[in-house]
Amino acid sequence: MVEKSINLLETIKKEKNNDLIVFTTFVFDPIFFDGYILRKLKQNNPNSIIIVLMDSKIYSTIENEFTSETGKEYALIPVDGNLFHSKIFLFKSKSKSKVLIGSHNLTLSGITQNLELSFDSDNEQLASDSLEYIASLLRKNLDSKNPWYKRLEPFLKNTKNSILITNEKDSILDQTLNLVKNQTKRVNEIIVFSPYFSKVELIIKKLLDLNPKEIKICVQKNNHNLDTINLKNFTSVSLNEVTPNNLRRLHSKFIVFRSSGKDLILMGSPNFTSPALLETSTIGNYETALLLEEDYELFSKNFKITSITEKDVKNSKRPDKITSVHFQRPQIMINFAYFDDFGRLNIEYKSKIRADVNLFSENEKTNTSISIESGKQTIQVLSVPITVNKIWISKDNKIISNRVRVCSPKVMKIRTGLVLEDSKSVQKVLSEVVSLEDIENILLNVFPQPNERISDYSQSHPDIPIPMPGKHTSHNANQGRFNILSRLISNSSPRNKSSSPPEEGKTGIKHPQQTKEPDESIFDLIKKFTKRFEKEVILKTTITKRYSIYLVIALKLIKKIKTGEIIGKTSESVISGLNSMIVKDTSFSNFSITEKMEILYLLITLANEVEHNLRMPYKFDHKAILLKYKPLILNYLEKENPLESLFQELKQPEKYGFDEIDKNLLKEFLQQEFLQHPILDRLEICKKKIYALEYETNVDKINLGYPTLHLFLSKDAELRNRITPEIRKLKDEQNREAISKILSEYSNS
Amino acid sequence: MQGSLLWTEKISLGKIRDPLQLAVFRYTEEYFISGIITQTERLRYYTFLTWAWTQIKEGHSDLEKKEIRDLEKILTLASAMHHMEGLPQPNGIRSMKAGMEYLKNHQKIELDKFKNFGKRNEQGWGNYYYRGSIKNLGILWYENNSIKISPSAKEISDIFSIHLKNYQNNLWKKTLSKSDLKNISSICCCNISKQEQNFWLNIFFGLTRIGKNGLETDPNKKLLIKNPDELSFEQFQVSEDQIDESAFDEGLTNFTETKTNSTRKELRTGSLLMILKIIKESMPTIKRTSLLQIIRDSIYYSQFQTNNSIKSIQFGMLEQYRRYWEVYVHNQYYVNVFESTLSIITKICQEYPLGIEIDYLHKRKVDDDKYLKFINKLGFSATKNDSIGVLFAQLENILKKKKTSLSNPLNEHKILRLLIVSQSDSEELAMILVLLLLCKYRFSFFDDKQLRMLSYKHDKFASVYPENVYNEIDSIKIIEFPKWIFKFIIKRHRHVSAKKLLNSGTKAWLFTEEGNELFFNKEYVFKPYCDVKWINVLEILHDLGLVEKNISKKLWILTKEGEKWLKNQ
Repeated sequence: MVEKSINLLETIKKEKNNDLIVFTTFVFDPIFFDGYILRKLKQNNPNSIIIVLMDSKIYSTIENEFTSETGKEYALIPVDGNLFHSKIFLFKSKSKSKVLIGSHNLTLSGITQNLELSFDSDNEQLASDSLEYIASLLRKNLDSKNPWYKRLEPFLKNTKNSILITNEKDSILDQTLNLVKNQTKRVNEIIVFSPYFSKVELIIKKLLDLNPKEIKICVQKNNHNLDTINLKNFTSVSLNEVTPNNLRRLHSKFIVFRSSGKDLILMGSPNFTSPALLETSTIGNYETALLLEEDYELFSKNFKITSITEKDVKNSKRPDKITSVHFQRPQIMINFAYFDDFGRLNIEYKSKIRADVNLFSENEKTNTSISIESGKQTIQVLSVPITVNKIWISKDNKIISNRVRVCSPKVMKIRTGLVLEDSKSVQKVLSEVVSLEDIENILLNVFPQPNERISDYSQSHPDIPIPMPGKHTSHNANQGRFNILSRLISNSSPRNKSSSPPEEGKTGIKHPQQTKEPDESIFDLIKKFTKRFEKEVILKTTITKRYSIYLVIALKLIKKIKTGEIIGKTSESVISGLNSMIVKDTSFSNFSITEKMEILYLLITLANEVEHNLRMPYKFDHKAILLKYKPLILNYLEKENPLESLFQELKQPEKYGFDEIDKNLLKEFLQQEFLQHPILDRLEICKKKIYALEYETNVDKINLGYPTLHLFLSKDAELRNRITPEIRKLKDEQNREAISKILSEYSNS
Repeated sequence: MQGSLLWTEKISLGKIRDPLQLAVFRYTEEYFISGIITQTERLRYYTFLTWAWTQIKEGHSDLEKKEIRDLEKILTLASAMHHMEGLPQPNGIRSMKAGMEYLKNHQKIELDKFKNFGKRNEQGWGNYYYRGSIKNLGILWYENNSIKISPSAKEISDIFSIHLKNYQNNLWKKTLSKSDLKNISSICCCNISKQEQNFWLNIFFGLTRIGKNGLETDPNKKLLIKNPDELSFEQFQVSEDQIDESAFDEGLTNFTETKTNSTRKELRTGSLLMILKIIKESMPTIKRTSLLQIIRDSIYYSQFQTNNSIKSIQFGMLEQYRRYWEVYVHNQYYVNVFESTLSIITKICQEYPLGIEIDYLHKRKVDDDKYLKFINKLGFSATKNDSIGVLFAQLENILKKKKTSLSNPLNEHKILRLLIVSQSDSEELAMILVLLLLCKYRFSFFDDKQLRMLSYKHDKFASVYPENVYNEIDSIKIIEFPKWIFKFIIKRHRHVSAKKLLNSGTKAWLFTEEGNELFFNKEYVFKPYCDVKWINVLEILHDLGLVEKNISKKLWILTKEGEKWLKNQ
């Protein structure tokens, strides 16, 4: 119903906690978007990625309006091909959707001044349709491995478009006319409003298929380009003026199909032009629309329609633009450029040629030779500094591509939105850690930095070489990010706002790419991380799940190591770090069982890495850890089947992407825990188990009981000695024999 | 389908002040003459509010903070009563006319019924003064929800209590008789005692020291001016986003005299003496526009014009202050370049409510030939193909590498005048270019010390930092200048309005842009110069007894006391 109105600015501002925000727009206003909307979106949707798809011709004309954030802090993608005119604002999270489909561009005028029509919906089907459409645009323009596309993929449901009308396969008008025919018996009147017209006679001919009595063509004076010459032959066409209630520029576009008892309104991006309504996007524009059943009487309350003469139309025509956009599609169309996790510049392009060309960048003034293949391609360039702002390609001193902003890798997720006081937030963020960038983002939260962003950091330290990947191997390429992480971790003066770079001598950091193999660099990095974490974080009781943060980050970094031996060595050092942290932490005993179980799970995962990679059985001998877990594990030791009970319990915590734990290692942990108890207590526990087996006939219990005795006795010689006299007292012969057998099994060990 | 088809709302505009965010160029006022604000012209408010707050602090009254407004009403009504019978009305008393009207119609004075006391004055202006000027002077301030008073506040409070004799209680009443009001007529601003004047002279001219409990007057201190070259301008390094015009006007910028930072005190002393010197030499008319122009010219050119003759001023020791203020006057002209352009843009835009193409702005309004003709009429020989750099070289030749002066017909004052009176867009744009070049030319004479006045942290996007603009224009063709400046101003305003929305929620766009078209919202009326604070300075100096208005000759002149203070520096 068009009774109420929508404040687009407030609506966008109110959107919170989305995971994905996409805008499609013809015209884009970077000054307003970056200066206001982006900041609000970031503030309210810290985990969201933001994508803006816009017309490529307009992109090329607004370059001088780009702020330092344009296309860097979000993905700004010029859509290749014909005029890109779709206007969808989509906000998506796992639990909800919001879509605004209309005539509004992503500009200050579109959002605050013009009189636009917007369909505001949280309909899942419409959101799904919109997402499918956006995904299809991305597929056409980007590589299937593009990380932004990848972030969109989980939301795709592969359903057919059923509500949103796009012109990917059929023209908007053909689809609309079919829908109208299906939904109404007879159309009496068609009312058209648009600020832009072209080949009107062709569109009218199609509309006449519905046999309306009248087609009202409406214009707003001084805001249209309607040419009436070809309309003279249509007797059922009348010319009208639309006057909004308050003088505003009508930028909305609509076609109303009125029939008895039902009014249908086509609204959205298409103007009353041939490329918008009659063509598919292969030849015409890219358009999106909706056909809605609405009450026309309510709809038309915001304006008045009065009949006008042909002369009035002619006299009120908008003058032709003096500056038309001269955009010739370049030989190479760069669709998107971004730095990946490893600091490599990825350029996704479509090329008409295959050639050796030069890649230029604006702020860094670099000039790199690259080879371009024809077709839709992606190239990775290793030697471009991550501070590069804008790139383009030239051949023989002639620019042969469009110029695009390079998206920064860190801003893909903007910031993690990690709320260190909120265990759910920590768990969510940790469970989503995949890349080094994710780790970086978490560390930025955990260790306050003098500078917000690493890119700023490197910009403010021109004397420190910008971490650059090596040219040929992915190992070396990793170094860039590790180096950043290393600096991040090593900055041990969080309150020091000065921007002086970390001094090598003081921090002991060497730039790893210059001196060490990558795996060793990670080993060093984790050691530093452990040190700083222990010093600055672990005793901060306000930070929830701090042990999980430490262990998950360490494990994720360990997963980047390729050499088995170093994996084992590093994992061992992380366990030692944990032990050292736990020693000091008096608050550990207050942790919930769930949290302790989570830490134990991560500990055993690490132990598995040691055992597996160093190829030797792991022994839990870190006293502090064993001591802190003693009370909790005692409960399990007293259970009928301690190992199985604990194993089942350890299936519960968040896994953070790691595998299930090795039961043998858990057994080893239980045995070491058991040994922490005084001999008399151990004896007591063991005796209880033995006597419980006297005359036991339940096979299940028998099957559980003896393995548990194995668990207690196999590593405990003292207990074996003490338990021997007790066996003699047993009355159940079978029980006595079974236990004696166990003891004899370990008598020589 | 679930959802609503809705028309979009037009977002209404908020208060638009400083639409290009150029207030930073006025920052000199705040830094060099702190404590004097554009919201008051009368010294009595300083005394009266300090006294009132001190009384409240010391428990002589249980008046609530917001009720300070009642005291202000009494000040107005008592002053009105004092001037009811023939005496000329004093300026600078809030709602004086309304006060007189109220007295005519009421025998019994009930403060709650005297409502015509400023539409937006809900808390009392005193809540601004103590926050602003009185705080900046280090006299009285608000901290951790309580009033803090310095020994100097106590001193002036005691002086004023004596001045009020035994009628102090009348000031705390809610209902008064007319005779009660008559008894306190001494609170009117025309009754400033010598002691009160001396106290404030000490404060404004820095004859103070910072004691254990804050600022106190120092009877042993002698009037001395410090060379500003030796003073720190660290606090000038503010971000342009931090500078808010209204904060200046109400003295809300956060500065207080401290032991370690007495720069502002020194700068104020020097600046007040400089203005005394200008008054002494020029004896300017009391007519506001002429008065301000004489002050401006005296500072900028060390010259002023009266009765068609140009006279020079030798500033002597005060020259070191004039040099700094010269940068401020440069800024005035510089700001006018942008604000006059903005005004032209909104004027053109208004003619096209449904949008005008940005490139059409200048094509529609500027005739290249006429535009060049207007430039060349000023002594240039520019052609269509020349760049602005070439024009600047011609300017240097015309001015023979000497500073602009009133004696030379090609000066900022004259060009701005031509710009204001112009009826043609081509001429306006020509004058804007020449004015910008004159600013650039004058800027080249500033030394590093002077340029500390422009050491603010500038926003790099659509930067109006003079050096950037001056460098950028050189390569632009003269005939491309209108297009360039239109685009530059549009970009700047768009950026500033986005920042205002983000920082304060103010919707302040005079126009919006979409697809290279501009859509009108509100006209911006260009008002040249923003140096009106000199009027407030002169009025305060008048209450301090240093200057006076010669009513018969309609001139500002120095008093004997003023001569004495000027001589003693």
